[in-house]
Amino acid sequence: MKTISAAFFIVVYLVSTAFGNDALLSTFDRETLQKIRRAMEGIETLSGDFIEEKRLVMLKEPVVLKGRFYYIRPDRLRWEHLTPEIQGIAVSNGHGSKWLQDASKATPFELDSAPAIRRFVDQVLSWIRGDFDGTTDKYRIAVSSKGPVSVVLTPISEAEKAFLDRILITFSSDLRHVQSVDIHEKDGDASRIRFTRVQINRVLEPGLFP
Amino acid sequence: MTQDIRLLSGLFAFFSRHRWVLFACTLLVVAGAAFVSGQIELSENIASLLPDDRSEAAESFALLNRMPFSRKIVIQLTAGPGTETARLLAAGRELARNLQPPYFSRVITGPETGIGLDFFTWTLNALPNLITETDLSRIDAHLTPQGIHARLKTVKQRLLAPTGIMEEALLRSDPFDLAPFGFEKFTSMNPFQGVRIVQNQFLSQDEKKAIVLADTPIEGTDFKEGKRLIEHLEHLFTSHVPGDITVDFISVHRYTVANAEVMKADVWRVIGISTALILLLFLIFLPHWRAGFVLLIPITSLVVASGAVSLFFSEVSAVTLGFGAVILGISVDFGLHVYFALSSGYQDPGHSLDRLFRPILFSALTTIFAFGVLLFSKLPGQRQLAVFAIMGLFYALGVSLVVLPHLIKPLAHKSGRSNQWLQAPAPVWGKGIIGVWLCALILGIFGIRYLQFNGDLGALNRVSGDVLKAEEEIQKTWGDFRSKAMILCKGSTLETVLTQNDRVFSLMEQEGYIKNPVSLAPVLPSKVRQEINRKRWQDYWKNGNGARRLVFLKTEAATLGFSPEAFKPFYDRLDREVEPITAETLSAKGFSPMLELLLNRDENGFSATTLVPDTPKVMAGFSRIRKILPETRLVSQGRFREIISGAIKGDFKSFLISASVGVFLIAGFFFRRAKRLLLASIPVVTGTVVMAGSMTGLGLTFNLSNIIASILVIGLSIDYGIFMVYRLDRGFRHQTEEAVLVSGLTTISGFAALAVARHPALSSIGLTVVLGIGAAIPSALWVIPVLYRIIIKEKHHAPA
Repeated sequence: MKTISAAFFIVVYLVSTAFGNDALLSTFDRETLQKIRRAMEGIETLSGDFIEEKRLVMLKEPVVLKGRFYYIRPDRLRWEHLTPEIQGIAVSNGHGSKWLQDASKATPFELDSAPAIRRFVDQVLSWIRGDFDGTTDKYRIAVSSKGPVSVVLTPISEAEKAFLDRILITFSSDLRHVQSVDIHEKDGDASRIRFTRVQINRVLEPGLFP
Repeated sequence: MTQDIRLLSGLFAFFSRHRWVLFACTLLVVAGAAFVSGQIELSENIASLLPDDRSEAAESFALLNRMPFSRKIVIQLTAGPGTETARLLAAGRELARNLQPPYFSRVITGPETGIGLDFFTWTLNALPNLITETDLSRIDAHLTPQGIHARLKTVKQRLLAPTGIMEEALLRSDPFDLAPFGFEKFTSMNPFQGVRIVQNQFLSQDEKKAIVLADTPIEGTDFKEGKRLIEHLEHLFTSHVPGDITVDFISVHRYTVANAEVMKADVWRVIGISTALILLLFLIFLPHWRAGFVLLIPITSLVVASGAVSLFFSEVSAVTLGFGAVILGISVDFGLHVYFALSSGYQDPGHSLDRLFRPILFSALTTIFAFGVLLFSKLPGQRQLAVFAIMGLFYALGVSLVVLPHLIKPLAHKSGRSNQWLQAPAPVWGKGIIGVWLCALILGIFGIRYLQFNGDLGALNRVSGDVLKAEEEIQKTWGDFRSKAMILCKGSTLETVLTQNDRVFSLMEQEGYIKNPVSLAPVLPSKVRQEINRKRWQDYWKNGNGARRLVFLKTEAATLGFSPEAFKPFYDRLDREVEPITAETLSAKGFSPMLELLLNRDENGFSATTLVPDTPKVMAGFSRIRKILPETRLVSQGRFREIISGAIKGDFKSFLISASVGVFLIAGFFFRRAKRLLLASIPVVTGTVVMAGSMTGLGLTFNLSNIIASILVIGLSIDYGIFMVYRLDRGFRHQTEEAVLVSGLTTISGFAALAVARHPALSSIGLTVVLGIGAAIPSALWVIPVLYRIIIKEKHHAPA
C-alpha cells in the first residue's frame, strides 16, 4: 500500500534543512536523507486518503478522522475531512476556500488574511518546494529506524519547543512517500496520521482547487 | 468755494527749469526700489492669508493644523486586475521604505506588530481592564445556556478541523468566545472604515487597495517646498511601484500647489487680457504716444511699492505682490486726470495743476485711507497688502502731480472731441435716470438682506479634477477620515486627560448621536476606570451571573465529550491578577501609530483626541458635553468655517464702516458742505449696494477676497464722486467726465480680466469690483449731475 501525507513534506523539509546543517548529522543520517530526497524527485502531483487518530487533552475520548488530500506542484493543496464531519480547505496561488459539511458552499479567503491556515499551508507547501531556508533552526533531525525508515524531529527553537515534543515520520519502503506521522505535543496531545491509497503523478482536476 | 492751492504751479515752474534733475531723481527712486525689490525674500506660503492673532479663528486654525491627518500625506496603492495581494503589500512596503528624510519624517503602513496568538492572549488578559458595565451586560446576554452549548459545539468543530491543531491554544483559553469583546475595543482606534490588517499592513475590505501614511516636515501652506515634495513623491511612485499598481495621494500640499499653479497661470492670462483692453482704451481715448507715460505710473509704482514693503516686512508674500499688482492698476487714475486736464490745453499747465491738486489729493487720500483700514486686519497678508497699496498710491500721486506734467503737451485738436453722451443729461432724461438709479438701489438693498457670508477657505480653492478624484477615491475606500472633527481633552497629567477622555466617550455613548467615534477611551481608560472595570469583572465571575455560567460550562462541556482539563487556561486566567494597561503596553503591542494620532504630549502637558463626524448634529451634541466638561474643545472644519464666516462678517462690517466713515470725513473736509458730500458719495453708495445686491442675485457668497474688493470699490467710487462734484462746482470742461470714464473703464478692464480667471479667489474679487465700479461710474457721470441740478440748484458754470 502506498502511503503519503503532509508528514511526508515535513520530512522532506527537514531533510533539506539537515543538508544545511550537515555538521549535526551522522554519515548514516545524511545518506538516508539524501536517498529520500532522490526518491522524491519528479513528483508533480500527489493524492490519497488518510486516517488521523487524535488523543487530545481537551477531549475525554480519542477521535478518529478520515479524509483525503490532493496536491499539484507548486502551490495547490486540498485537504479535507470526510468523517465524522465534512470540513476542508483548498488553496491555490494565495487564494483559498474553506467549507463545512458542503464543499460546494465554500467560503473564499485570501491566505494572507488567515494566519492559522497560512501557517498550516505554508509548512506543507514549503516542504514540497524544498524552500526550507527560513526554518533550518527549528528542528534537530535524526534517523531513528532503518526499516521502515523513520525520522524523528525534535524542536530546538523556543517557539516550537513551547508546544511540540517531537514528530516521528515513517516512510514507505521505496522512500517515495510517508507511511505515517506521529506528532507528540507538550501538553499531552498526540496525533497519528496514516496514509492510504496514495497516488503519485495522477492527473488531478483543476476544479479541486480555488 | 475754497481757493486753489498754488503749490503745484510753483513746483511745475521750478522743475520746468530743472527737468533733468526731476527725471533723474525719479529714476533714482525707481532704480533704488528695483534694487531693494531684488533682495526681497519672496514667500510662497499662503499662511499669510490666515489669521495670526490670538483670536478664536487663529487658535482654531492652529488646532486644525494639529489634527491627526492635517499634515499627513495619504497614499493609496490600487492593485490592477490580476495583481496578487502579496504583490500589493510588497509594493506598499517598498514605497514606505523609500519615503525618507528630508521630505518624510515618519511612515505608517499599519500596526507595528502582528495580530496573532500573542495579541489574542494579550487581549484576553486585558479584558478585565476594558470591559465596561454595558459590555458585561452584553456578555451576560451572550452566555445563555443555548449560547454556551452552541459555542462548545463550535469549539469542538474547530478543534477537529484541518487547522485545529493551530487553534487549540486559543480554544482552550476562550471557551465563551470573549475575545471579540476585546477586539471590538481596538476598532475604536481605527480611523479608517472597513480596514483589514494583513501582514501588519492596512488593506481595504476587498484587499485591492493599500494605504500608506507619511508625515512630512514641510508646511502644507508652503508652495515652493510643497511642489518639490510632490515632484519627489511622483518620482518615487515611478521608480518604486510596479506598473500594475496605480498610486494616488492626497495632502494639503497638493491643494496648495494646485491653487498656486492655477493662480500663476491666471496672472499671465489676466495681465494679457487687461493689458490688451487698457491699450485699446488708450487708443480710443488717449491716442497719443505721450499717453504712454501715464501707463508707466502703475508699472513703476509696483516696483516702488515692492521695494517699500520690503522695508517693513522681512518676508513678502507672493500673494501680496500678485494682488498688489492688480490693485495698483488703479494708480493710473491720477495720471489720467492730469493727462486729460493738461492735454486739453485750456489753461496753462501750472494753473490746471493747481485746480487738480485738491480733488486728486483728496481722492488719493480717500483711497489710501480705505486701504489703511486693512492695516488692522487679522490676516498678515492683508496688512502687507495695505502697506503695499498705500506706498504705491503715494508714489503714484507724487509722480502724477509732479513728474507727469513735464511729459505731457497740450493737444490742439482736443477741444472738439468731448463725447456728447458724457455731458449731463437733459432734465427730461434726468428723471428717468434717477428712476433707474433708485430702482437699482432698492433692488440692491433688497439683495443685501440675503447676502451670505462664506468662511469656507475651500471655496477659494481651485483644485484640478485629479486632486478631487483622488480625494473622492480615497474617501470611498477608507471613509471620510480627513475631515473629521476633533474633540480635545487637555491636562497636565496623563491620568487627568484620560479621565476626561473617558467622560467624553461615556457622554457620547449616552447621547447616542455619534456612531463609532475614533477614541482611545475604550482601549486606554484611566487607571481609576480600569480598576473599577477589574473589580466589576472579578465580582461577576466570582459572585455574579458569571459564576453560574462557569458551572454550566463545566457540566455542558462534560456532556459534549470535553475533558475536565479542556478549559484550564481559561479558569486560570480568571483567577490571575491583571496588570493595568498603559500607553507603553499599547506601544509594545504595535499600536504606536494610532497612539500618536490620538495622544499627544507637549510642554503644556497631555492631550487626548477623539475624532467625530463633522456634522451639525455632532456640533449640537458637543455643546451639551461642553456644559458638563467645559475644559474640552471641539475643533472642526465646520466650526472653523463658522468662525471665519463670523470674522468675515465682522471684518466686512468694521472695514466697511471704518473705510466709509474715513472717506466721508476726508471728502467732507474737502467739500465742507453736506449737500456736496452727499452728492459725492452717490457712486460709493451705488457701487457698494449694487455690488452686494448683485452678488445675491448671481448666487455668489461674500468671502475673504471680497473684503478687498469692497475696499477698492469704496476707495475708487468716492474719487469719481469727488471729481464730478468738483467739476460741476468749478465748471471744468468735459475732460473731467472723460477722465472719470476712462479711469473707470481701465479699472473695469483690469478687473473684468480678473473676473474670467479660473481661480475662484481671483475671479471673485474681479467680478465684485466690476459689479461695484460698473454701477459707480454711471451714477457718477449721470446721476450726480441730475441731482446736482435738483439739490444745489446752482447754475452750471460756463466752461472756463
